[in-house]
Amino acid sequence: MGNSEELKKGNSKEKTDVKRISNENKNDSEVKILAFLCNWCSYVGADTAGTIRLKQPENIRIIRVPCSGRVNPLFILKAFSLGADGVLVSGCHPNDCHYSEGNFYARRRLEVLKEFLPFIGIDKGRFTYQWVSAAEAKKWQQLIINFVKRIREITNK
Amino acid sequence: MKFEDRLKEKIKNIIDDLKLVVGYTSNKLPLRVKPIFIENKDEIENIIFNNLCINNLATYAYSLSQEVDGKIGIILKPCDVKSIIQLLSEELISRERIKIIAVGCSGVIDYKKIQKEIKGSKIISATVEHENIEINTLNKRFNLKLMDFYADKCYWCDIYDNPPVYDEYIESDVKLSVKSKSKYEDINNIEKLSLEETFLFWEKEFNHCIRCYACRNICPLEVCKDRCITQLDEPYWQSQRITLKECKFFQLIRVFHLAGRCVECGECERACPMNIPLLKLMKKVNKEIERLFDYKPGLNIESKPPLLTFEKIEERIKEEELI
Amino acid sequence: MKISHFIKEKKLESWLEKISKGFIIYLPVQDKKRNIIDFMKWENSIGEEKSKEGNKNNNRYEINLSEKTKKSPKHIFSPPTENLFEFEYKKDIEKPDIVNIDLKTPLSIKDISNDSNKKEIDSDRKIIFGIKPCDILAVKRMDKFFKKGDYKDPYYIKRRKGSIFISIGCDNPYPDCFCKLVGGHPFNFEYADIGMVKVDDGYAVIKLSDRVKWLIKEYNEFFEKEDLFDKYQDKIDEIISNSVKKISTSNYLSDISIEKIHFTMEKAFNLDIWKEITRNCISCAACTYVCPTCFCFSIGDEQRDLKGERYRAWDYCMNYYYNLEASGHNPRANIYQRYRNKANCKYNYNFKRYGNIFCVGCGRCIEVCPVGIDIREVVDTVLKNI
Repeated sequence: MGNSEELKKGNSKEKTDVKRISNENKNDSEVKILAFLCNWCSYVGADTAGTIRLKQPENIRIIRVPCSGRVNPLFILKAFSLGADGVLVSGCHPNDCHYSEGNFYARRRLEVLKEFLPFIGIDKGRFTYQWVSAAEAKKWQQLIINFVKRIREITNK
Repeated sequence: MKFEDRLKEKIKNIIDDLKLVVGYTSNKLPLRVKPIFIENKDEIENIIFNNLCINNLATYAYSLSQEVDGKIGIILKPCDVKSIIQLLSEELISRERIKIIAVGCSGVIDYKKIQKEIKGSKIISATVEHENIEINTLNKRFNLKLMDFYADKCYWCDIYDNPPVYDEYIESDVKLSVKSKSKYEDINNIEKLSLEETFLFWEKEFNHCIRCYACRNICPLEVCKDRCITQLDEPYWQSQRITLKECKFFQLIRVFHLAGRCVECGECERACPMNIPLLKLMKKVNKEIERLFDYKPGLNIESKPPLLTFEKIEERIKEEELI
Repeated sequence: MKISHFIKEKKLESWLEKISKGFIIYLPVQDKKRNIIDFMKWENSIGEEKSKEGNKNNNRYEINLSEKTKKSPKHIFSPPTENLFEFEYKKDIEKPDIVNIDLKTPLSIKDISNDSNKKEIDSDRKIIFGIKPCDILAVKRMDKFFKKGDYKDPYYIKRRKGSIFISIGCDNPYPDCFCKLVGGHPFNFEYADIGMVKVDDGYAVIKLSDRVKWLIKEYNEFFEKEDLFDKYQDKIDEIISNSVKKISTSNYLSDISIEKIHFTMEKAFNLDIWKEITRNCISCAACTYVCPTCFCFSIGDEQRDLKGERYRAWDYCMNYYYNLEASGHNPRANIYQRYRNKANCKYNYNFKRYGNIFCVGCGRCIEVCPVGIDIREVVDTVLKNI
């Protein structure tokens, strides 16, 4: 099929490092992860994890949204294009959404996005959507540790 | 009576109730047709319908319904009727504004496939016979078998003589007789490649995109093209640069805007001046939506689009456990 | 027209390969994988394939000098996107109320100064090989916009300086070529540095300007001896007249005077026929971006934290947002108004501004339009309806 050498010389307007998806941070040694957390459950859970001083990796940047249903699949694609190595979306458990139905819509949309990502060459493992409630600080810690580990493995393969 | 004459006769009968009729007429360029907009009886002569009519006239449905009062008649092949059905199911146009004049189809020739076969040379003239096409370029003559150059969608079409919804139906003289092919074969071939190969494949394709928006503007379902988010200043979603990164992001915006709505008419791929295989992206998303939610767009006016509804328990979604 | 040199077709690539050591060469290349013919750099296409070992029969790229390219060569001089400058705010903790701005631009002082005395060829030497007379005329038209107006565009001038045009005339024009109807000619080598005609098994040079004589003299080994010229000389006039005959037969624009067309387009402005003939149009940018003389661009500033860029990118007048004013009013909200503006820009307004109509009759817009709009037909219909 060809290698990235061909792209550098062709009519390409820029060359992209395949492993890092985007040119933005290919010189950084540490992976960058973006997380969209719903305001009522996951954000509180993550905040609690910090308050009770659970040890977590520092690679993650959090964006607080009112509900996981607010997350447009294009946010995730834009994050990848701007240099994120991994994206995580977390909301209330299904049936427990603060707005009753938001996470049901989110589940449908994000599942379609997840299945579509390998078709444009992005590893499915770089994106995940989970349900973390306000009381599950320890679960949040475990989620972050596992996710960062997975992203490091994919990026450095 | 010959098919074209029956069509013209039918239009003559109904044109008095209609403000406008959209049909096909001949084009000076070989192997192509173009749309024509008819308002009175003496222009009906110019209507044609043959196996070169690949354009999807439903492109004009939404914009005409905004500009023109009264009923609009559109001549549609059964695959194009699906675009209208999708527009109706999303309530973008109302049923009484459109008169669907469906015609039975025996397949359409894709001139872009022929251009591909002759490696991009210009088709100076072409003669279509029963089973063969003779193509003349500047330096060579080609004799091709007609059967191999139908549009991809014709090879798996099952509604060519049975449009899902219509107001008038004119039956075709000839049956569609092409060897049927698997719809998702090209998607499966791409899925077999490794991640790195797929990534480079798409980068190479989008490298040639010049962001002309022909694909977006010709799509019947992109009704927001005058308010498109890729061209707005507020919110500033996207830079206006014409580079690989921006063109790729624009195409992905289109894919998700049409997720679960695209009826795979193939106009976007036909309109692209740079021959980028855009339809593959739409087909992949449609394949996933069909698998997950058992939904095919464009067949039923009453059905609700899958991404605007939900089930409390999703049987086909297998969520990932990461903890 | 007297033949001064002759090169056989099979030696053409070797000549180009030799020249490519000192120049950047752009030439029309057929990409068999994408099925498109476009101007590409020698080093990225054929040059790269030649340097690789392996099967020479399965080459992806091939020179194609007889067909018209899909896109025009305007991207060589006016690229789709370029950074005009980059800026960075520099702050100093010691002096908090002073902010310095660091500016970086791809131009040098030499480029920005109005030093038009320099006749010699610049170090960024380019050769545009295989360009047709219509496209060279289009570059000359673009020069009027970028170089001769009130503001001289330094980015364009830098790219344009010292370019050499090696033109090959059109011995077999397409049905949608119409250069003769807009004042052009398929063998107009007035602005070319070298002009060639395809005769039998090679190319005869019938125009050679003094400043590039060395391009042939120093590579004489690829060119034929003079005694062969006679057998080709007789055929040249016939080739030229056949081509002119072919391109002059057209149903459109044949009884329209080019000098007066701007006047008649002005009179036709308020006709209702504009609404009817542009109904097919879907207002995309396909015709604009392949046109060799459409020059409009849009400028934007983007900044993140303290660093930013000002860029410019191609813009298209068929865009709904092209004329949208800050108040929200849009004087060209309908498609027919935008198309009317486009046709007038080509045949009317630019004639008034620069003295020439800007359409060169290449016909690319007709080939690329997905809904079959033909600008000849539109202008012809409008003018007949006055």
